[in-house]
Amino acid sequence: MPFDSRTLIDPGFFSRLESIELRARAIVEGSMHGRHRSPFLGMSVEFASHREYAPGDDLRHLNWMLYARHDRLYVKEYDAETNLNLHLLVDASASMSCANSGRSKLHYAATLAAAIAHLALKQGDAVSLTLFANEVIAHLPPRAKAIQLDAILAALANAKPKPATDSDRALHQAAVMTGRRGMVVVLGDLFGDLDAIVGGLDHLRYLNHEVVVFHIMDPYERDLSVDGHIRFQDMESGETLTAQAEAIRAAYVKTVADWRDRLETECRRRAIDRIELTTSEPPDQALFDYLVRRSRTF
Amino acid sequence: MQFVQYGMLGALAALAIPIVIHLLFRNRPKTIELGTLQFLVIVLRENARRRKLKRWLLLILRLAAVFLIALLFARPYLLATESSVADDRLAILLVDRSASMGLKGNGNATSLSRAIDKAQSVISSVGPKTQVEVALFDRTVRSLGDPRGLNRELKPSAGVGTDYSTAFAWARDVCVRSKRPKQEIHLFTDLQRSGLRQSEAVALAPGIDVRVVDVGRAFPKNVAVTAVEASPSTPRPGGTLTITASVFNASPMPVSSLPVRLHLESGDAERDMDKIVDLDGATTKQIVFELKDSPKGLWRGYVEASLEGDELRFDDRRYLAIDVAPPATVWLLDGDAGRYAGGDETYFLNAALRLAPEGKKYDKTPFDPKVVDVSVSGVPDLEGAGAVVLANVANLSAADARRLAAFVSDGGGLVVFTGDRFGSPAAQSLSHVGLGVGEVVDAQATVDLPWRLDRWEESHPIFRPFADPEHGDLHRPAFNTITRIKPSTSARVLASYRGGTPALLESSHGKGKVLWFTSACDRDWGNWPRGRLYVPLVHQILAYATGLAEGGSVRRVPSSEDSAPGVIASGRTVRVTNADPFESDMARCTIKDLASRFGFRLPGPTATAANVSTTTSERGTTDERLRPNEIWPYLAAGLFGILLLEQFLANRTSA
Repeated sequence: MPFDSRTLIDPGFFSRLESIELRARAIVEGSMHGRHRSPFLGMSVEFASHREYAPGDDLRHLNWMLYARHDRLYVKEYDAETNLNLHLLVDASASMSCANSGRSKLHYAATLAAAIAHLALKQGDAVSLTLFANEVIAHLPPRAKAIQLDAILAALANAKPKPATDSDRALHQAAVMTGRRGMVVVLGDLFGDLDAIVGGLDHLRYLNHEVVVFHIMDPYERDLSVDGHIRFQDMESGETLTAQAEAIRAAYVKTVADWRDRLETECRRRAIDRIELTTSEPPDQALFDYLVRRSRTF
Repeated sequence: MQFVQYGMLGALAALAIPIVIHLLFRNRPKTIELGTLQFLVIVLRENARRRKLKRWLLLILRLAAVFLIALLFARPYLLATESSVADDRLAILLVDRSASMGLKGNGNATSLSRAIDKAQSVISSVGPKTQVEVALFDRTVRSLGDPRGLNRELKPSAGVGTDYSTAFAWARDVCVRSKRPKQEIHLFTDLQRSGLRQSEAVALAPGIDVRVVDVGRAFPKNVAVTAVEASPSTPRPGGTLTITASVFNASPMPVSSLPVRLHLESGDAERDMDKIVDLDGATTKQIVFELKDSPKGLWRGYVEASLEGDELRFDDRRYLAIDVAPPATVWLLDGDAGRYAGGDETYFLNAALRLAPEGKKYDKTPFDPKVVDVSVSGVPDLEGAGAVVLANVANLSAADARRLAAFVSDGGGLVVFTGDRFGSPAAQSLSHVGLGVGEVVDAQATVDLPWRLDRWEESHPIFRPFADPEHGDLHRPAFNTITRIKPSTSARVLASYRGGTPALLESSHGKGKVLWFTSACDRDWGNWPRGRLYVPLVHQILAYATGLAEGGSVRRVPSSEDSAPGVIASGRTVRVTNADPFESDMARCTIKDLASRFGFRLPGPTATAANVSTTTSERGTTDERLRPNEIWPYLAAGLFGILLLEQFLANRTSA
């Protein structure tokens, strides 16, 4: 259901975010050499300058001509690709409408997506947005302009959840749309066939994207923290099941935990960061904590 | 199984309530949306079967709870008595058949009949592995062996009293011999308090269950003659005979104008006396009959109290026999008559038997001694005599010996005292006619210590009164000379000196007794006639020889199964058997009194009213009393467990 785009913006939170840098892992890894770290130097095609060789530098970048001339070792420096392409993939399937905590998962994901987009655009990075359910619903190509945020907010606010039975196909479609290597942030509940979803994530990794998954769940979906005789309704298919919550809670929680563990294992294998959130947690704090952790790492 | 409250079984209709609740009033569920049901499907699919089972189990538990509640209020009890459970056991049935069990109840059945019925129901309820021992008891116990011997044809013992100690002692012994793990005793009795009179301690083993079935009833209408005594005990012809009868009213209600009759007969003669008395409730009254100028003879009869409607007849009559006779004639055959009276061999013996100085008579002495100088007169006519004493007789003619033998054979008594004249000739003449006791060896005088009695048969009628040393110490009489006799095989040594030398020997000849005392009856061989034991000892010896030591011709015999109340002549004696007077006292004890006396525990509430039955014959009656075989405690425990389980399961089951 569409919601007010202004609800996606928290000025106080956004100002806090400005103290954080969103760094792509690939950029940081590529720029790490010697004692210096430069977020802006990396594997670029443009030669910038030479500097004296220091132990640990990549020997592929040694300039042998200079060595022959000067009998001293020099490495080539390239201009870093300072522009990070950030791709936001937001799950807009019907299951994201689940709002038992008072806030729907889609709204939660949109809030996170808005914050991340703001951060990236502030850094001068290009941000794209893809809404998907059974297939890609909407796509905004990456742009680094400030006005891109408005477009993103509008698209998020107007997102209408649609039933989805085949989320992995949408992921494959979204992957194709991402273009050159960058950072992909997937925000969704990842319900569905796990192998198929992992296949979609594999596609993204195949394209050399850094993938971060914000796995958003409703508290009831994770813990079944409800008592009594309950009729449970599937928001995707509309099917219902009735059960005594206390009688099945333990088995349900274990089943969900097993699924989450498996998902976590698959993400780790693919060097995908998975951040598990529930809609009962404040999204700003959750994102902030993650970004702080990430900035310390990179 | 039967029920005390059949009406409460209608509560079983409440079984429909859980079903109605289960079907119609299921909880309306709350709806919650989830992004996916994929996990729920997995969980429910895995637990579907278990949940279905739990739902069915829950329904069964709820139905069972309602069922048990209804059953609880209906108070079910088991049909069979507890004795039918746990088959491998010993069941002892003690049936009281004392005289009081002849009391009839409301239905004209005696207490014994009711006891037999109840005992038979117990026998029929036991399992095949149960060992059943049945015994009838009064003052003794008679084991029936085959339980089928217990039938309604059995009658109460005639006049025999009750002794619970004997019965429990027998049961205890049976229990000790039995190896059965579980043992129980069933006592069927009228709880007569007189049965506890015997104080023998009988302790039953701790694990034995005792069930007491009371078949008696209180306050029967009964008057009893509990005692009859004649005075004097040895009446003489022509004297006054006083007969005192004790009449007891066992009922709490007074009795007026009760006729009491004394009836006596001897040969063709009869004497009857009647009296009318009034008796207060539960009291005893003495009634005296005086008979003047009692003729000689053995009188037999009874005292009878006839109460109209008396419910116990065995004690209405009390028998008696009285021998009105002169003192027993005892011929003292003096073998060494002296020139003066004091020198006669029989001087002291005569005085002792007469109990009076020379020339005087004492009416109460049981003997009438007559002295004869045997060397002059020989043996006199012994007709009517009770006994003959040979005192230091040197010899007897063959004819005299034969007459003595005939006298003894006919029932008379012969007592021989030895002395300095007595020797082998006299002994042989007696032995030739069967009146000897052995071979005379010699007369032996003591050198230093006198001869004293060392051992004697304390249970023999001669010595029985001396069992209590306070009645005299038989060690004290001293003899300086004795006659040594080698006893024959047919002789019995009743007393002996030190070293086993016989002092008093006994043999029998025909119906009579022969006693030889191996010392003199005067002071020639010892100073014992001057001792205080001389009179009682010679009295006992002569009383035994004449038959008076055992009560004379009248013998009192306690009633038993083989001896019904009455008077029976047996040879020269008359046996008088009467009912146990204590059996007429119908005062009752309680089951707790029995338990406390004999140290057994009561397994539970037992029948205390006369008409309560332990059989299964009472069906469909509303009886509010707690029965021993009700099973509601087990039902309550089961209900509690079911409710706990239902609560536990309900919280974990979806409808």
